[in-house]
Amino acid sequence: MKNNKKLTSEEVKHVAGLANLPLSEKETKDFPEKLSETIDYIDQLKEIPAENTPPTYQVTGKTNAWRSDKSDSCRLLSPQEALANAKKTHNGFFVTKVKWS
Amino acid sequence: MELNKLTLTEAMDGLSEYKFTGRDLVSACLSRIKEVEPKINAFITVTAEAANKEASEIQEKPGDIKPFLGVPAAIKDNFNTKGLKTTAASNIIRDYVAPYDATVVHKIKESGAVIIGKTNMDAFAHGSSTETSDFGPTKNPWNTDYLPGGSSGGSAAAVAADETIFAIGSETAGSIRQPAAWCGVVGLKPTYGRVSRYGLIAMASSTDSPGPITKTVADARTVYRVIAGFDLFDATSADRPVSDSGNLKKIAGLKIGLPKEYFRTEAQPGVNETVMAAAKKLESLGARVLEVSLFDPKYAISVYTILQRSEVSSNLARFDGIRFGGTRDQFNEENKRRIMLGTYTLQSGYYEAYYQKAQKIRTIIIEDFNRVFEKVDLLLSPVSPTTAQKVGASANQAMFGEISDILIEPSSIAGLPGISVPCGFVKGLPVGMQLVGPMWSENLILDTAQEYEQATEWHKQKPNL
Repeated sequence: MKNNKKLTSEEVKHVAGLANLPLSEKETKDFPEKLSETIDYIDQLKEIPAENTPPTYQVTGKTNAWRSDKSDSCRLLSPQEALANAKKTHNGFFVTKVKWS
Repeated sequence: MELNKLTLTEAMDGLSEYKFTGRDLVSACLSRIKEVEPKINAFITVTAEAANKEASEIQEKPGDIKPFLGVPAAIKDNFNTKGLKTTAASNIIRDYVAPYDATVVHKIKESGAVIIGKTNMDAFAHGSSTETSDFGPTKNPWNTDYLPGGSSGGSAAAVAADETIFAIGSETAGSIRQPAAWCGVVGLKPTYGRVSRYGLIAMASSTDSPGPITKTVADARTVYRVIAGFDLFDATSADRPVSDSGNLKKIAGLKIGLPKEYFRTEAQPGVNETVMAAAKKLESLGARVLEVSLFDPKYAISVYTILQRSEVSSNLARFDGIRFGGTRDQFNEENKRRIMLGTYTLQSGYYEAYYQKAQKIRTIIIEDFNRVFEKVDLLLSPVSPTTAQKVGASANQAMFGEISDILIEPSSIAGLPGISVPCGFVKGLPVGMQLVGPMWSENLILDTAQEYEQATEWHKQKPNL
């Protein structure tokens, strides 16, 4: 069963926007075909009826996992450690881009 | 004696009998790394100075239980390792220095092992070749024109080339077993939830499982017992004891199923035959081998592809260049393709048709395994339909990994434990057989694999580097 509908470059740009992913010119050109190839493959699942089958999101059957309200101080990060890999910090905070709404 | 060639068991024995020191072991592995790395490229970071220093300062304290004291270990570069670069083989975190230890690393360190380096992998573990690494591909020690498999290709190649005594890998669907098979070493993928994922850079959170890559089955058991267990930091880790003798059983009388759908007609000539010879060997050791039927694994590829890409797109959303790492254009093409596909399948209007449908078929796959495990104790099949493929094979094959991992993906999706054990060669390249069992059956798998290994010589063969 083939998915005759190829992904268009507009759709690729839309998905890239959702994923906050800058694509190079080459990727923008190549991705419609490459992604369509994979989508064709995964469309095989349409062959299997599963309307009445419940989904399994977690294989061990664990439901809610609670922990006691304690922490292991030897494995906590200091603020300096937490900030150590940031490109930009200010007064002990991460610096982000400004978002005006 | 070349100390780097020792198994973990031999190394621990020799250390406890004072035949050599941890310093000797570390220095033997570091010299081997120096010698073969230009050909293999199994490591992204080698911590020679720190490892030498640590090894020379080892002091045994009475009462300390440090089973691996002085034993060199290599860690896949997607495990956070405090004070060391942890790159996941990706340019986007090329300079990231982990501020904390993953639980697996914490446990390995607590056990006294000396970390000698971080191993190469497909970038963010997105692949089955180690070719998508932003640090260049790793080569197979058996023939450097061939790939080691992946994503834990660096760990498997480092063990096969005797650059380390043992290594840690991680598997989402094949990333431990397939490189272990292609490099002729042992790889154990524990039950999902058996080993903590805390500090492992996430790929697909619902299947990621850390595990050992070693020279023998006994070594895999020893490392597994150190890293397994409940972890407060991983809410999905299983809160059940890791027992020594949970399901101890001898091969005699064991029922082993050969799933006929897993001996594929398109397999490389010789691979199925080699695994069938291993089945005969198990039979001669007293097992009852019978043919069984399982859900066609080709559907598992689709399920896995959807789940993995979806979870990847969500997990990699955190790489925003604010708290760590560079900008999102630094993901490589393979990473981007997976993020894109996952974002596509999770879009509103598509979620039910893809992600949810895949989770429903996951239920069908699990029920299928449950049904077959009422008839047999374990399943035996090839790990991969082929031996190692040539360098360059993964380029421009969007589904390269999925096809080479077709025989592994169903058990990964179901969360089941499995092992890859060397069982022969085809044209000079190793073949791995896979034993898969029900949830939490690691002991049974290890016992069976170990009996097979003791009755064969495959694991004693070494590549000529």
